[in-house]
Amino acid sequence: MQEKKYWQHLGELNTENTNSDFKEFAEDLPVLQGIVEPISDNGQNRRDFLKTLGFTVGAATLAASCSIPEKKSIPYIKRPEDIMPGMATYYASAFVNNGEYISILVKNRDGRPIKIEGNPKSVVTQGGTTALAQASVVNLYDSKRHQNPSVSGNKVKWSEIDAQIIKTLNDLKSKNEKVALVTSTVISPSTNSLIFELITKYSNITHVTLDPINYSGLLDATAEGFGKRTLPDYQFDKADVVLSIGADFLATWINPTEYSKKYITRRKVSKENTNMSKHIQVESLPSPTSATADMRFVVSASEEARFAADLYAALTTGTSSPIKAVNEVKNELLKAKSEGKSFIVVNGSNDKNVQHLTFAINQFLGAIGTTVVVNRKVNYKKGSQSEVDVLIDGIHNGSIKGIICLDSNPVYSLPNGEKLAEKIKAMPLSLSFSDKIDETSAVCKFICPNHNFLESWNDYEPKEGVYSVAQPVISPLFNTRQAQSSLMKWCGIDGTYYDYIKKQAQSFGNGSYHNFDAFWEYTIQNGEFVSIGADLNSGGANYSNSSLVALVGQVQASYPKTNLEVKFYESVQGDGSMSDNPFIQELPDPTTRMTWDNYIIANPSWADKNNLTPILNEKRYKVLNVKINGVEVSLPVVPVAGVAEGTLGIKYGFGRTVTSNNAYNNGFNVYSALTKVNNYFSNVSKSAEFLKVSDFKELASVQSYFTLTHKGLGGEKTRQLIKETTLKDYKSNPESGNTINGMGRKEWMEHHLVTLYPGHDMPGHQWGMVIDLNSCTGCSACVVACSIENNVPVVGKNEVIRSHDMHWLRIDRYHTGDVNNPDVTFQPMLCQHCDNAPCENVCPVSATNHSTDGLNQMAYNRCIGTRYCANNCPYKVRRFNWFDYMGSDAWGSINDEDSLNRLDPLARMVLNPDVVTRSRGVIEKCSFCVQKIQAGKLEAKKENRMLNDGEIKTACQLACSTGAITFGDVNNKDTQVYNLTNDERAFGVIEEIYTKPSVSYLTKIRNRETETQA
Amino acid sequence: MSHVDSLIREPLILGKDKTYRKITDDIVRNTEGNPPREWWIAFAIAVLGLLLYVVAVSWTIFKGIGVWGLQKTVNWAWDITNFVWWVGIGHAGTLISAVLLLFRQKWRTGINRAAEAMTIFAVICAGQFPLIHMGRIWQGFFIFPYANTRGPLWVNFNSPLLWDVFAISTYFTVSLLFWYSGLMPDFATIRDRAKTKKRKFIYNVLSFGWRGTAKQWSRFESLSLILAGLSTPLVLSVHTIVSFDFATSVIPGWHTTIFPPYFVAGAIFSGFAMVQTLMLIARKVQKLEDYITIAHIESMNKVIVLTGSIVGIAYITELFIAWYSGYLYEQYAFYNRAFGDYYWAYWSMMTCNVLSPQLFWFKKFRRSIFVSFFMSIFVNIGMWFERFVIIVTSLHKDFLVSSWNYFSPTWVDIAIFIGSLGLFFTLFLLFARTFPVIAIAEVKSIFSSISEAAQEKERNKNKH
Repeated sequence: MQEKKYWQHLGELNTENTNSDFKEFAEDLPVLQGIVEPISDNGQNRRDFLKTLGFTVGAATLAASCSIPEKKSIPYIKRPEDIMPGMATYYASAFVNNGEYISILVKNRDGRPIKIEGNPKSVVTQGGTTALAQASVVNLYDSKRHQNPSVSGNKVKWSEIDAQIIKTLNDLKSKNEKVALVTSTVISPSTNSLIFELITKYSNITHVTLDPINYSGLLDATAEGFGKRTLPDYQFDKADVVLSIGADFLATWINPTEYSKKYITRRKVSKENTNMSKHIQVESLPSPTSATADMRFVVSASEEARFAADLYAALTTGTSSPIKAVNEVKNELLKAKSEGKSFIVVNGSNDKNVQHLTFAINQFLGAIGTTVVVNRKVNYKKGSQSEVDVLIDGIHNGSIKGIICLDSNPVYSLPNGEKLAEKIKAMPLSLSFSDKIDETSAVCKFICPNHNFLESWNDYEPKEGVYSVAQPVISPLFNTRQAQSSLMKWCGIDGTYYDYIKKQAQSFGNGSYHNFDAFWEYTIQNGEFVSIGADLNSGGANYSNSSLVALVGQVQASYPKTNLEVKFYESVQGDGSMSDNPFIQELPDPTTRMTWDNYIIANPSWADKNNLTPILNEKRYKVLNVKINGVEVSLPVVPVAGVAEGTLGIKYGFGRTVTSNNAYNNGFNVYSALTKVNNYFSNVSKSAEFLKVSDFKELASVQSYFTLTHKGLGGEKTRQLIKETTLKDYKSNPESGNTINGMGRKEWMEHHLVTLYPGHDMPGHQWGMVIDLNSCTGCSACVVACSIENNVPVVGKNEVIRSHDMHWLRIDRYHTGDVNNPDVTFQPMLCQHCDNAPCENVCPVSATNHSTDGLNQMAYNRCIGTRYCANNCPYKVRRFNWFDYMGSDAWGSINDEDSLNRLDPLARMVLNPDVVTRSRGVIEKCSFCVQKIQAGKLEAKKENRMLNDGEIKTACQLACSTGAITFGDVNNKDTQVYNLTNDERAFGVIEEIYTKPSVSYLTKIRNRETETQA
Repeated sequence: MSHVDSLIREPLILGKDKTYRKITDDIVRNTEGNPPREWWIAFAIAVLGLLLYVVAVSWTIFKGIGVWGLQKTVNWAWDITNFVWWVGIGHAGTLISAVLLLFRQKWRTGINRAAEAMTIFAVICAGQFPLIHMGRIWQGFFIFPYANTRGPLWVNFNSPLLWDVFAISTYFTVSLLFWYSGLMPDFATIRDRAKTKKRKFIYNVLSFGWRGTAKQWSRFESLSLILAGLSTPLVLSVHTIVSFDFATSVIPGWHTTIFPPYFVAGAIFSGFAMVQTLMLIARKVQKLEDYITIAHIESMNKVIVLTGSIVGIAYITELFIAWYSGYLYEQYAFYNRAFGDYYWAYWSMMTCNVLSPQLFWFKKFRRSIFVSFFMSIFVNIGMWFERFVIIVTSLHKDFLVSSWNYFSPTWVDIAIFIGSLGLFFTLFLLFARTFPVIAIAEVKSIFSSISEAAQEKERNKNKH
């Protein structure tokens, strides 16, 4: 019987082939035809054509396509509780570098810390940061860190290394051989307690606190004069007159973040508040602090060291000093004293006697107990010269048989490092906790790599009564172990370091919290817990010293004036502990505008006289050979206006020899030339001898020309890029100094800036920024913050020499006045987001255009790289990707010649996922952190509300310790930025060419009688 | 087609026994037979230059624009200098063939073909630079307003760079048409003389089957006139638009309303100098002294001294206006040109462009081949420096002192410039061997039917 036929449609019913061998295609697919057998003339049909076409196009595509680099992405199997993909979370922590404490918030994206911000809740640093703190996040992703414990260079297990170390420690203990535990300043109470336990267990261990840059003189003077070995608690906010003798307290001295915060409260001038402090700076080398000062007196290095003695004598006995500045400063001080002003005097010297005399001046001026307070302990620096002396002697004479280095690199940061290295190599116990490759770990037998600070728990007590907990924000990337855990292991203490910290914390009590857990949670969340109130900010111990008169003579005798003197100084690039950080290396020094090297700074006329004139155009500088304290130094000379004649300056932090990359090993190591004056390592040379001038060397400067006055066809004229006034003039006319071609700025603008063309319509927001030149100290934290937030590439020394630096935000520095003692002004310069932007109309493809909220925006994808915009930008803030700096091209790493690890997969983890990396051949520039603007707008939209003023903050604004940068909506009349933009002090740079910049600057106000330095 | 020479003027074609056939022989001879040794040497050098160009450009595209000496302050230097220089050179050809045609300057027929060829090749060279100076040449098509689905994403009609795209491409197209249409009858002449079948075929194709009928000639004349009419405004507009690249910007030293006439005069100046260089060599090598006469050289020298002086007045006007403006940025920019870091470039420019051509006020120098040749080289050097001075010295020290910088070229910059000369001469030498370097048909139109001997007689008669 025939099967019943089922059909779905009529066509099927009528076809015969309804059974299972129904063929979809009427004939066989001619798959092999033409390959196996030649295609006959009539055999070529449409299918063959398509086949051939498909094959050839496919093959051509395959052959022509570049291999696209493989990108790894690993999904979560289980999503961690507090990580939302694409959302940033912030964790409070702390950045501590050789005792300098900054409370921070770490931005985490998808489990990776990518940015560091200041913690605004901190009572100490109040949200401020430094360039070093900003850059520190990069160190976490250094794939050349010590990744495993090792013994004599061989990778071992932690259990093995523990056994060997404990055995060695016990051996040494049984022989009672001395072992030194060398640390930088430890401000962690738990670490201190652990060190105490270690010393208790191994009585042969002594603890040596070695700060690379020594503040022992100040500490010992406080110990003798106040009976308490601590740093004074400086209250810059309470001083009407600030006198700094060579202390760069706004950029490098002790804890510049805290000091800047306090200092700047008295420098913010408005019509309502003209109570501005008067800042007098006496120094031999210019610094960011002196640029901010109202009066600056230039003295030689030895005079600077002796200054306190002469000034003390002048103030108390009226003795006149051979240093002219002493008498002038004396008169200023006495005049202010008669007016009932309050004072603060700080001194950058490391000489105990000098610090004694500085205290004495403070005492004379009534500053002790009000601005110079020794009440609570301030722990930032604890380094001890006497301990270091014992250490050096012990290593040299062989009595120290073991050394354990924690956050310390004695081979680099002590004189005679090479000899020390040899001795350390020969010790039975040489141990380094360093997580980074450095000079000391290179000669140590045992390496127990510490966690990066972002991987560790820790507690800090920067000041008595302020307790801070640092929490880890990422699991350890490598097989490292926190140094404290190692110590616990060797002391036989069970548990984790976290438990240990928690146990220690119980001594703080619960504060106002009902139980410890609440207290603990609060502290971790906020970063800081304050147990003692602000009443400790004044009063305290009194200073007493009976031998001041003798000290005056002693100090004067210690620093005889010579023809050639050298001062060692620190710049914002730090003391060398972070010179293996590319962002720090490429950070232009605010005073010299140099990157990637150190050099000698000298007075320009002195340099000319000594045949040391550089060829600025070619960035070539004459190399000077000079013998300092018996050490021969050969460095290029950079003439800098404002350096005392006959004084040379060399900065700390360079001359590294062992780091993760040869590019970081440059310049001269100042520590190797340190010598003692009055028993303390001195910043001033004891002897300096001019040897010879040799050939040129190229230096990576980012700015070659400094003065604003130039000769043109109409004679000499000064460019009004910077506008300044004096406090006196400001009080009588808030618009003083703010002129264009001699006319008041507002009036000029009304009369001259007329156009036929319609402007941009900005119905909603209009983003604007105001930068207060009076508040900017040039500390450069914003520069690093901008680079990290916006994935701005580091290009390396050779590229900077070729002026290919990429910074979106730079700090221009200008001099006015006398070359020997000029006024210095810093001007942060970034894209001005002009509302009549010259760059926009010249782009042939509209890659750069104006948004409806006033942003001058860049569409990188659209950019073809004609660079016309960069040429036509009067502010020269546009940066071109000359090469593939970020490895964004499909072509891969053809341009990574200087091997700065930009393309290292781990190093790329720090990149901000909200900001695209730019490929080569496109222009990039400041976007006003558009990613943050968008995020802020989105947040407000989600909550269905208007944006609040100050809700959106740019990276530079967040990083700024002095609040020099204000950002917001100038279309909203209630915002701070609106008020400042319309302030009498506000001006736009070269606004007379009608660019209508969105960035305004506030005039710089100097609190002095005359317009220029006397 | 007869032409009567004025008896007072020098004849436009020299030579005792010239016939129409002789003219054809003289000119076409150079495309027939094997090239002489000099040609091979010159060609080898030019091709080497071209290879250098290919290497340097490939390196640039492979590595990035960073291999040039450009930097954050000076974002254009040799690239755009070369571009403007080459475009400028191109102008002479158009001026000679179009403007002089309209003004009925018959002497142009001796040189217009080669000058037009020079225009085409110079524009080819010029056109390279806007392309290779792009950071992302592979996205270069973005500058064309093509239909797209991205919005549509459109080009920026406000940008002078976009105007350049249109100006240069129009200029190239019209010049090419003009040149080629003029070549057609001459290709036919070569075809008619061709001895081999292959040669006959090729030249026939090139001549578009030209047969020389009266109708064709009539249309040919009309076309020439129309194209001349079209080209004439281009002579003025192209370099005006190129000057807008600078004039519409805000940079002191660029932002100048004098630029359009100044650039056009400069372009004609440099173009004539380049024509002079090429013609002086060509007439010697190809034995065309009868057609490119001393009178031609003198005429061109007159144009050179005129345009050179216009340029000189422009330079002085710029200086005066800078001073008179009281605008300190401009005052500095011009002071800096003359006495700043690049003073040598400025004074090279001044010497070559303004001072040295003043020699041509003297007939003796105008008619000296030696002086003319060296002057033409000077002018070319001077005009290159002019563009360099305008571009680099304006950019390297503009508004913000902090960004002031000094530009130095790298080997790639230099190689690309030399290489572009290689490209130009390769093309020109190929042209000289394959195309008739003098417009045969046109030059015949100025050939006087009276022999030179007869003319001589006539003149002597008039003297008495």
